[in-house]
Amino acid sequence: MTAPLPSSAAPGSVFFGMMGTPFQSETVTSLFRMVDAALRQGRHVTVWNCGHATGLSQTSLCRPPDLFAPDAPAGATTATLIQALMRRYGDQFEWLVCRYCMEERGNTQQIPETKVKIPFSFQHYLSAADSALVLGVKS
Amino acid sequence: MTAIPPISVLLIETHSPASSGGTECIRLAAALLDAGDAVHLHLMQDAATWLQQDPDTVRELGRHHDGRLLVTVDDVSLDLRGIDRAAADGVATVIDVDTLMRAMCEPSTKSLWHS
Repeated sequence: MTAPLPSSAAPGSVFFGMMGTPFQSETVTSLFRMVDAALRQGRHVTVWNCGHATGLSQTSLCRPPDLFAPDAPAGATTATLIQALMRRYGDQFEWLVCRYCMEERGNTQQIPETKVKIPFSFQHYLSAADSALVLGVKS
Repeated sequence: MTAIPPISVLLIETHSPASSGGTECIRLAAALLDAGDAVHLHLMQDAATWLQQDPDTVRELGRHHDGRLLVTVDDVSLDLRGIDRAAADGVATVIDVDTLMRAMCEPSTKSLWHS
């Protein structure tokens, strides 16, 4: 006998902390899948980005052509994906970037939807959320 | 009838058993269970390969802590790796990301992501 899964949970707010270098695995995909699911369930979602994750929302991102589908239209970047979620969910979704990490890595070309925050406000947003998950730190 | 305690710790494992640090989450789950906590172990990304590479360890963990351990595996992680969902039979419950989010948002749940 195993423990049961919850059938439902009341909508609340969710905080995701995206840390380190998220490009070395499918962690970015997992993050966006979870963000999308939480938004569809009516929750308020805050994503805080530190380290190289601050590059996910740069205007300068580009995606190389898909060699397996050369006729396919240009693919979305993580920045355009964030903008699409903003258009769909409005104030229900916040994308925050740590100023220190952003400037240290030269990731300063941010989309207008990004809110650049001082590092110390991490704790404020984390504490304000009903649920939290910090991901992306290499063990 | 013994009441099943609510899930209190959600461990999201992303390592395969063969990778560096791949068994840390299992050891943490075992320690939490030994301490009396209820644990939800979710296998995501490369951790889906536990079902192929070492299902006995996961199965054994549940056997020793009957009723306080829930093991689930991410549907997309299985599909991306071409792992037949039948591999989860008797080891884990296949769930989607919506179910994972509902579990994470349970008021009594603390969630840990193992990168």
